[in-house]
Amino acid sequence: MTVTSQVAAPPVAPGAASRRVPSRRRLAHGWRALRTGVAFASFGVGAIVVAAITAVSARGVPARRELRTQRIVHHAFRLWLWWMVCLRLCRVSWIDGERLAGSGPRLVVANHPTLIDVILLLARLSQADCIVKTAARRNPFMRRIVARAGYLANDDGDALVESCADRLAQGRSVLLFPEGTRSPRGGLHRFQRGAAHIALKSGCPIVPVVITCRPPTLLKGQPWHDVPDGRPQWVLRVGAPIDPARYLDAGSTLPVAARRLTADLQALYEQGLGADEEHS
Amino acid sequence: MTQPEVSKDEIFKRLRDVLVGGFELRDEQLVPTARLVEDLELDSLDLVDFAVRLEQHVDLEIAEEELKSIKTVQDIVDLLYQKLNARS
Repeated sequence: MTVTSQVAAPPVAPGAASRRVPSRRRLAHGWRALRTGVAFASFGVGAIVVAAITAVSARGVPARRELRTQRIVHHAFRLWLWWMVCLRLCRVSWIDGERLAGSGPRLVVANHPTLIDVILLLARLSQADCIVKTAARRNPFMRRIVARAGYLANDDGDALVESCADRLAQGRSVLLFPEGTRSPRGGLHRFQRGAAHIALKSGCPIVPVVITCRPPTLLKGQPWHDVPDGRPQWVLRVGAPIDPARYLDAGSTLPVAARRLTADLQALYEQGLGADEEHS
Repeated sequence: MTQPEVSKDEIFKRLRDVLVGGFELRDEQLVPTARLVEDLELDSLDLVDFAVRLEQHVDLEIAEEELKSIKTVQDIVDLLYQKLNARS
């Protein structure tokens, strides 16, 4: 026979216990939102400091100036990520990250689930030419840095392919998100074929990076203060380089090769995200 | 009265050769009302390549403005019909 002791408890108003839990949770949530606000405010201040540093260092021939600015951005993003970790706002894990060691030419492509994906990648890559949307080029905090770093505008598809191929021909790395915008929650937009065209034109390998974030945060359309309950973990898995030359077999036209390469890339990311879903 | 050298059916057949061979599209996708961007999924880079292939195939020059005005397969057939017969 099991005997359970019964301890007399003070009378509790109905529902008081259940009210205490949400209020503690609300407090933790508010505290996390406040720290997130601090992190984003420091990002703005950091951007002003970086703009001032790059203004002083913006000398010499354009190519060298761009590389110098990109290196400053790389260190600034590393510092900011360290600050995010100190604030207990994120954890970042790399799988096969050594595949991004060394320098270009290479085309680094990634899915784009959260606002800070580009920061995670540029904090890892000491040199990378990014493709920047119009809003970032007009942002008062960012526009000077973007111009000095020589980041590319995403206005014209044909011109962008030429510009990226030109950067790769100079031995540089180019970073792009083939979805063209942030991914939908837990999935992918259909990949555009620009990455494939750039790889096929330049002959440079594609290095795929599959990014996941759990619990999801900083999604498209989600305000920064809408923070999750737990500390989000970003996992960035770097895949084996893909040689575009194998898509240019005899009889295959450039558009067909671009379609096949894009379809394979999309499948690789869907598989990568699916595997992550199974492990979680 | 000058008879058209090339009929719209003949133009459509040539166009189909370009789109099937060059872009790996299927025959059943190539209906006159098919939209190049939305239905056949040709992006801006494909359209440039398509124009070059078409020019080589029919030995005609297609201006950028003409290319921009093309929305459907039927638009291309009409444009080529007009240009080819104006030449003859």
